[in-house]
Amino acid sequence: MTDRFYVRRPLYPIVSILAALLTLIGALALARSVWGTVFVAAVFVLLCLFGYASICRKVLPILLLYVGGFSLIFYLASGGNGVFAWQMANRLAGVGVAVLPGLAMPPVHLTRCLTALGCPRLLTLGMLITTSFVPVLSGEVRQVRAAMRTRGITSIWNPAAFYRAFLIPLLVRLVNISDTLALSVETRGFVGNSGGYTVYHPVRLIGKDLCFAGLFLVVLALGVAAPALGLAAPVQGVLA
Amino acid sequence: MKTEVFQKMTVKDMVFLAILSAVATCTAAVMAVVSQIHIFGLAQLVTALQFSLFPAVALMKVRKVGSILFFAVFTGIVELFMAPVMFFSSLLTGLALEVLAVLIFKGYQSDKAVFFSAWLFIPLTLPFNYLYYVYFAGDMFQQFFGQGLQIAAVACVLAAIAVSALGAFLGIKISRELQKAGVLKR
Repeated sequence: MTDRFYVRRPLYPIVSILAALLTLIGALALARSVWGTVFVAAVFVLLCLFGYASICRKVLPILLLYVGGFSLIFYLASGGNGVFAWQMANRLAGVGVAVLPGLAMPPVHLTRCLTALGCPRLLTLGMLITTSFVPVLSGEVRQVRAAMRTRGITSIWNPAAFYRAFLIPLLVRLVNISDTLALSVETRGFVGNSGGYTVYHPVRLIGKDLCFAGLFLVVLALGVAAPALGLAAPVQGVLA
Repeated sequence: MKTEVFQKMTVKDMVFLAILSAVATCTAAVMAVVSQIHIFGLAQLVTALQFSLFPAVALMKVRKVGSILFFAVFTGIVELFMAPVMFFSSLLTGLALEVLAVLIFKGYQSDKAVFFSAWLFIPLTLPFNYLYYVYFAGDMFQQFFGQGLQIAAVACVLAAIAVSALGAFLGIKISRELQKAGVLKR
């Protein structure tokens, strides 16, 4: 989405997607016990160890603010129920940590991987544009806002001004960008329906990805199996 | 002039759908905050306007079967990392809308078909989300529908349906203006 968070050597995209999915599922499934907290923290540490330390460091203050802020709201809304607030914190932290592999992955990495796996090229092109369009869009929004100010419209909260001076010009710009981009893609030899194609920089599954996947599954399995092993640690038991 | 129901997507169509999907996804960032407020339908309510307006504009230009499904896939790919449920419900909604549009309107050649699909893009995710909470997240279901939140849920669902209709209407209106100005060509 934004290149500030990209890491130098991201995990294999399919591993990243599965890790995100399983982190969410694990956090939701284990939210009622202390193992939920341990699981999310372990995934965070695992990401740090596998090359995501820079993004983890950048995101940590936001993550703490997000989890802390909402947990406080849940604590107050539930009439001072610490158990409920802790369980919600586990779920929120799960969402926050699950986002990290996706945030750190350059869109082109996913596109190359899916193309190599035989995904239709028009589909991967669309995915690439959607996931990498945010900086362009924010630039366009800034330009439209600047044009509005030049014409003496300072607020976008007036519905009529928003519609006429912001939404319509923005859509006109988007249509123009779309036409130019399509032309640019075609002039670079992109053909949507070609059968065989190669990837110049292929993204391959390497030992590091397998190692991460193995350790991740061990952490998840330990968390899920803890009650069966007689190690269930419900949040209320700890807070009692 | 009679046009075929199933037409091939071009690079130009795909780029336009992807760009509008990106815009819709960006404007839905507020969902990350409201998704933690456990009122069923609230997340859909805050995204209803943008997720009906932009699909309407997209369909007014790319009147081909598959457009709404691709829109759903492109918006869903971002959701995949933070809310996989939303990705799958978007995907299923896209598929359902394509089938309905083909069966009822034989494609998107009429504005009614565009309005229909753009309007129902968000409301149709609600049944899928409901089924998810019932079958896969029982404790979340209690939080969404317990503690007297049922009335709030019904209000949010009805409001989401109404706001979606407004968004689809506005999208078609804007597209007609752009078509008249020669900006939006089919």
